[in-house]
Amino acid sequence: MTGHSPFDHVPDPVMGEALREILAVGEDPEFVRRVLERARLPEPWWEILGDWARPSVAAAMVIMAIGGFLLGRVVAPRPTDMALSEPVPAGIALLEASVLMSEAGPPDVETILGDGSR
Amino acid sequence: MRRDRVTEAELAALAHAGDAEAFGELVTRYAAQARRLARTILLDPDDADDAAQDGFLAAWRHLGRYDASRPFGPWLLRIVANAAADRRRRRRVRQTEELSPVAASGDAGPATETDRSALREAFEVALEELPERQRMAVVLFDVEGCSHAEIAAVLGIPEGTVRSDVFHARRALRGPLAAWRGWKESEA
Repeated sequence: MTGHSPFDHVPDPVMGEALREILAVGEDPEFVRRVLERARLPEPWWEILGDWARPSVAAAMVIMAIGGFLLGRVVAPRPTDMALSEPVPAGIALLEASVLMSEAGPPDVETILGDGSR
Repeated sequence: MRRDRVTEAELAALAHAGDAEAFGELVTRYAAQARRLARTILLDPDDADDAAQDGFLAAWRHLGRYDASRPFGPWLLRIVANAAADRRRRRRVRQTEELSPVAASGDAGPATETDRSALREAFEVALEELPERQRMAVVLFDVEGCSHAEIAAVLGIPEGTVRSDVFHARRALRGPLAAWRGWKESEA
């Protein structure tokens, strides 16, 4: 048809001519005049807002992230406080160190895993 | 200073400094390409001209972001393509009209004015039915004469993808084009 393989990657003049005919546009000078006239007018407020929209959203997200981090540091209890204030659950007896130290030999498993009362 | 001897980077710098004449020269140089590209995306000439205008005005406002060490054309056409895509998202694209069976089959039949119109329309519909990126790739390659690298810069995709898109677009268009061209050649 056109003498070109689809793999040779050079512009196909026949395809180009057909596409150009299908995509024909009107007179360029009229279009250029229209663009230049529009360019002389002040930029509409919605376009100015539009230009600022993305940076504003990004800035708001950064501020929210930093604020959330700082708020989290103020409000959340410190891990050491939790450890000190954590009550020992009822029914669990503490294994006293003196029990372990007073033994001549190593403590048996029952002593360690048991309830602490010999 | 003669405008036709000024490079596009120089024109862009002048336009950025507020020289409306330099901006007008850039618009003149790229009007046809920008309008065709916008039409390739939007498929409607009026919408396309509005989108091309949006693209030129956006480019003018953002000329400060243009890297003068790179070609101006792909930078501008990418802005125009984005403007057209934005407009397409905002508006419903006019639906393609259904083809008659004769036109869809690509069977030329008797060389009448109706057939000629139907074959041209079949090619047009085949173009419209292509995925948008393939449509842009084949138009930029075969109509505008852009290189694969330039098209990759306009579309923001790898060169290999551009090659693939051009190949698939051509393959889809060759049938309807052959029918249409066959009719045109037999007419001559």
